Amino acid sequence: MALLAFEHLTFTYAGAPSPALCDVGLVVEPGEYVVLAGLSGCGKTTLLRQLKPALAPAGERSGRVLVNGTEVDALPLREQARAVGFVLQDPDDQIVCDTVLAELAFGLENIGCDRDAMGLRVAEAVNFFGMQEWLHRSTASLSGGQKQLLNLAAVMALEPAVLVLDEPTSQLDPVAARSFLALVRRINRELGVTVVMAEHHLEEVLADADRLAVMEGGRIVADGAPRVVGARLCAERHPLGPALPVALQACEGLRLVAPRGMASADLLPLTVREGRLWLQRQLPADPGSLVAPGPVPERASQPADTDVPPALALRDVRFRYDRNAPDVLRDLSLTVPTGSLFALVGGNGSGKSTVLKAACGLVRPYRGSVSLFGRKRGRRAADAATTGVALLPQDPTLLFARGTVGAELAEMGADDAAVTAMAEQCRIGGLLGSHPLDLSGGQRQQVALAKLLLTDPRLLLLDEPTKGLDVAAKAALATQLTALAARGVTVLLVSHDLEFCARFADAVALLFDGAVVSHGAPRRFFAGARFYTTAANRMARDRIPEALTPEDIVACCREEAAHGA
Amino acid sequence: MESPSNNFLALLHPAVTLGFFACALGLTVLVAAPAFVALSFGAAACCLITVRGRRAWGLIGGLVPLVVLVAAMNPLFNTEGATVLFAYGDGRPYTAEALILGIAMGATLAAALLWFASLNAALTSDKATFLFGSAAPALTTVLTLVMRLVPGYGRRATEVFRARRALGRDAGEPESLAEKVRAGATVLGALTGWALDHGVVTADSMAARGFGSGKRTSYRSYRFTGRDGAVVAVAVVLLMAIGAGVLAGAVPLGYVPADAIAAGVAPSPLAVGVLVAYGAFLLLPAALNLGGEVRWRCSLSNI
Repeated sequence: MALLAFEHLTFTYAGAPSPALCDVGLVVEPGEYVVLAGLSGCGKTTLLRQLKPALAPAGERSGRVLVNGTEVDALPLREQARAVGFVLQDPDDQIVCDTVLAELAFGLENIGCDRDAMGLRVAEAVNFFGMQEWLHRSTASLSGGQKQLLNLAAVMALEPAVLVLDEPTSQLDPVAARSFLALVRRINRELGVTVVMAEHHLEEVLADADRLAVMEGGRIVADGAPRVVGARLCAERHPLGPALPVALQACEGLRLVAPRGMASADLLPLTVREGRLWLQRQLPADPGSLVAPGPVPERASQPADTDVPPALALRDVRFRYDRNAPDVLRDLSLTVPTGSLFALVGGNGSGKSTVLKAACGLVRPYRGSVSLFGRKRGRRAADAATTGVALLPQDPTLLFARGTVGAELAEMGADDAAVTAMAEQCRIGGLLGSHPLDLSGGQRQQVALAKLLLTDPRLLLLDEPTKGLDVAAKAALATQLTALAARGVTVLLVSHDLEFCARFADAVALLFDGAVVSHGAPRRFFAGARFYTTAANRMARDRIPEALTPEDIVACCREEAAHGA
Repeated sequence: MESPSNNFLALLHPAVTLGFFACALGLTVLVAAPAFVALSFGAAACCLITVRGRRAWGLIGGLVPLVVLVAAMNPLFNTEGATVLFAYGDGRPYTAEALILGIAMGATLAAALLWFASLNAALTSDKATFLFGSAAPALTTVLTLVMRLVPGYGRRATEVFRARRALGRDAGEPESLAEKVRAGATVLGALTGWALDHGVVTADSMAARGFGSGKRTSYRSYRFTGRDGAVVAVAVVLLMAIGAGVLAGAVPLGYVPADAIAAGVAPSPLAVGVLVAYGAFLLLPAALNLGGEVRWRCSLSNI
């Protein structure tokens, strides 16, 4: 018997004109690991929440949702809480208690577990997740990754039969995201717990999953083995294609342009390792004879002359947050040319965000100088309007203070015509009457960006602008940033998203331990890196060292095939 | 965060901890005579220092301006008193009695805040849940959440101010008070929206884990130990002494400036006795913490 089953499920939000879920049918067998993919707003969250009556949104529902053959609404409250474990997107807001230990016990206390059993369950969870070190810490002091791990452990302490995760890694940095996903895999493999996870970054999860279900417009449009469904998405040029693992994209990309001698679906590469083996079969020739891909196309506006002063120049900057704290920036020097799209990458705590704060005057270095457009920043922190510098914080909602999107934009002192024009430019024209907090992550970001752009900045600072965005929103953001840079606006972005930086930046710099250790144009920068680089580069580096994207790999293979023929 | 090893107050039974702080707060508010208020303030500060160490000074220092403000403001609203220090406006008097009353009020408020700060450190949410969880589970959890959210609210306000400054809103020093108030109100509005938005997620997370699905149990259990008994015995004796003194009329409960000044000039032996008992009672937690610290040092030297 299936563990979970959605039967002809149709759901319409209260007051909405059209249904959010249309006749959804999905069956999950015990022990399966199912990934649910789809762009924002496709109904993933709405579908998953139907598994938990306590979380189900208000609206009209028809069809059935079965857990172990019983309708979820008919289950007793405690069984609902126990049988389905639910981990939400935001790491901070799910935590209820003030210490880690109390948080782990919270669910067990709620369902009236007796004290001895509770002690054992909590101890088991702590051991399984390796949380002994921070058991007695206050939850407020944990990092984002630790918080999400705690949320997972607190849900697992209830011993659910199925674990449901709604984009659990979208707010985490890549390192924390990977260790989180590795734990989900362990839960599935070692404990046999069924996993259903909504996710739109498929590079890491797809190799672990047994099935990939794709949603679009409230319907399940594809459901099957990850390789088969992935190949289909590529063949159909589905908007979700760029989110698929790079190996699969490269292999399928080549099939589209040169459909000969290709492997059947179950032999398609999914991981970087499989991709490397596949590429070795494709390009058996010695690497010397290969045609290297050209440089990433540069924009016409790229300033060639050196007379233009750089938008931002940091010279030997040192900074610390507290008198007794260690330096965050250590003799950091960085030059961001005017009109460039400059990406600053690096691990957590390398000082990336601090560089942005120093650039816009939120922190003042105790040594060294900060110059903007050739003029040294003075002692007084001036505002964006006078210096032309605007910062988009990692959490765009920090900029929201009004009841509607229209009022948010009007707050910047622009007239109605300017507000409308900017809203159109940022693709939020239809949302002017909505409350900014009701929007999706991508839309929130667009509203915040529109607010910044209304100050008419010459230097735009972006802190992790791709965090939590799906592939479509990322592509749209890239188009917008490229257009801004072409107009002469300098964009400095700080990111963990190497794929995004490799594709769209003019220059990339790696920050480590408070200083720049490497910088250059993306091609040169990533070709020189070993494993701090894009998945496509890791896959192709011993054959095509300069390939950064699956498209590069496809182009190269084609070139080679043409040569060989 | 507190390291539990040097907070010996935390080792007591939660009911004893709560009982002590309830009495301390009650006495601080009820007994308004200046000497007693000063004593309460001092004891509360000692307690907080033993619990939080150096970080306590930040709060204590921050309360001094509060006392000064309340003291300076009180004579503006309260013009009673015989000793006129000066007159302002069209002859409105500013009296010494009202000033002293203001100091006492400010100090009472500050002492109460300090006791609350210690209570917050000593009575962690799992202890609060243990005490009230079975009687009022929903209320307890909501209170826990509020206690956790308040510092988060402060951090968020700072971030919002920073982000808006980097955006060019609320930049520099606002020109007028009206502008300052308007900027503050905007940020407060932003915070409220944020808090509601995030509260929904927290509520979802609680519901998803079965909150409100029936009677709750409690993970932690606390045994009433011999040490708890001893502390309660000492506290009860001291409380009885204070009570007897108050009943005998040695301590004025309300505030009468003449009495207070008279008591300050020539205190009766009974009043001194009550004062000593009062101080001894309020210094109990600080003494427990210090004693524990000393014992800990001694045991360390034996290792």
